[in-house]
Amino acid sequence: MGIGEAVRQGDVYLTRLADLPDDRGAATDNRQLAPGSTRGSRHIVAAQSDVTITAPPKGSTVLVGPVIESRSRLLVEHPEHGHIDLPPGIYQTSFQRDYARERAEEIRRVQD
Amino acid sequence: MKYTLTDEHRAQLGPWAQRWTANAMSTKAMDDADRKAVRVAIRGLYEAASLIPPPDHRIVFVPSPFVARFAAGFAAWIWYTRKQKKTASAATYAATDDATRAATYAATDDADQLQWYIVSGDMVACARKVGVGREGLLCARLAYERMWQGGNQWSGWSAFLSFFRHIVKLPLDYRSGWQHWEAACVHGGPRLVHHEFCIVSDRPERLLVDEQNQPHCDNGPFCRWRDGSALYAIHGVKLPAWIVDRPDQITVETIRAEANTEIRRIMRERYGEGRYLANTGATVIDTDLSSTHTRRTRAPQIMRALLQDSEGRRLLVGTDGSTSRTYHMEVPAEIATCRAAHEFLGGIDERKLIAQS
Repeated sequence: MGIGEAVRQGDVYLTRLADLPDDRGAATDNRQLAPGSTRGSRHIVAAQSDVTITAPPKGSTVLVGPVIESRSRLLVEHPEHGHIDLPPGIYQTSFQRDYARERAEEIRRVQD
Repeated sequence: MKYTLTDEHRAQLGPWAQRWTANAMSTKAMDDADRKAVRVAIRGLYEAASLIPPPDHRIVFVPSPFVARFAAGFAAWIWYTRKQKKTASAATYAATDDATRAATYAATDDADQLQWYIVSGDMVACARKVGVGREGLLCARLAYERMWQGGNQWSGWSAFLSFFRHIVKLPLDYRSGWQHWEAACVHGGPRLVHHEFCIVSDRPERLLVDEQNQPHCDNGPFCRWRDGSALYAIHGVKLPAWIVDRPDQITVETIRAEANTEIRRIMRERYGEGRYLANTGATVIDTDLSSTHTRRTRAPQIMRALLQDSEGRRLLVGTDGSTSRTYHMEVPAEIATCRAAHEFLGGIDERKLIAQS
């Protein structure tokens, strides 16, 4: 998987980066990539993946998710979608947008 | 010595899981024997936590977790005010009616729950009647986070830990606390635990799941207690009750107004995909083929379409490769191709998307 290439798991995208972003947020132990408690939001970095996950930078939109620095194969699991298995590297998480004409100016993440 | 799973114990894993799954799914009403066992367990749990157990009359059994939650919230506020020597003022509560109503919505409309349940009774009126008002409702809202223990709804951990007690027979101290936790899980539903009282819910009378064990019923509540309170979900997606009970009230307008993608999809499915397209006056703007898994492995491709309805809305219609669910995703009216629609929604360059699941 080359730099700049991406994979999608449902409404979550993982794009491979060359370097860690300078403006990344604080490290977190939360391995769930998408916020929420619904079944659809359970995009989970598997326990066997050796990763450092950092929160999105302050001020970023709701479409920007955490950055994952994976020192091993990166396995992202989900109860409904196929698992993602990626080579070690740095990945930016982002989320699919939900758009409606009535609230076109509002940047909303898909809720599922 | 570190324990290693033996063949004999491995053979017990399946039956043990089935036993505890049955416990989680039980719809048997608690009987006198259950209540007696739970009282003993509750007292044991308080003592294990170095707390004085509530007297018997303050270990209370109620018909549903909803009653438990509100009753615990109200009671917690009453105990607090007693201790603070504060008195509730009826005039103050009457003057803060709007705030009270807002608090009720807060208590019963958590963002993730989206009115997917019904509660028998007007909790605002109840709060006013017992004199706890807004604060009691706020305590009820917090009760789940601060006082909740799952009883048989938390059978997963009990299944895991009790395996080591009963099958493996690890020589640990079960008498001081764990045996009580396990007994409360076997004999009762969820409970709300407070220094001064414990409120224990009965099990539901109806609990349905689909073939993947997700909460599911498409013609009524998937879970209902004997007091009429109920929960609604279709294939694991929590729904407002009316979508399940009164699907004839689903309209193009209510579908468009629904913010949650999964609920919108279910509403559209219940309304009828063809009927929805016909009633929205949809015409095709663009179609193409999108790889369902990865374009590098010549995976199967599915058709997607960009439609425009009679109001000029444009929607990308595509099927999820993993779940086979079809989604209608609105995009700005100036978007003219399926690819541009996906790139807008995903914020990516589709040519760099190497796999999808």
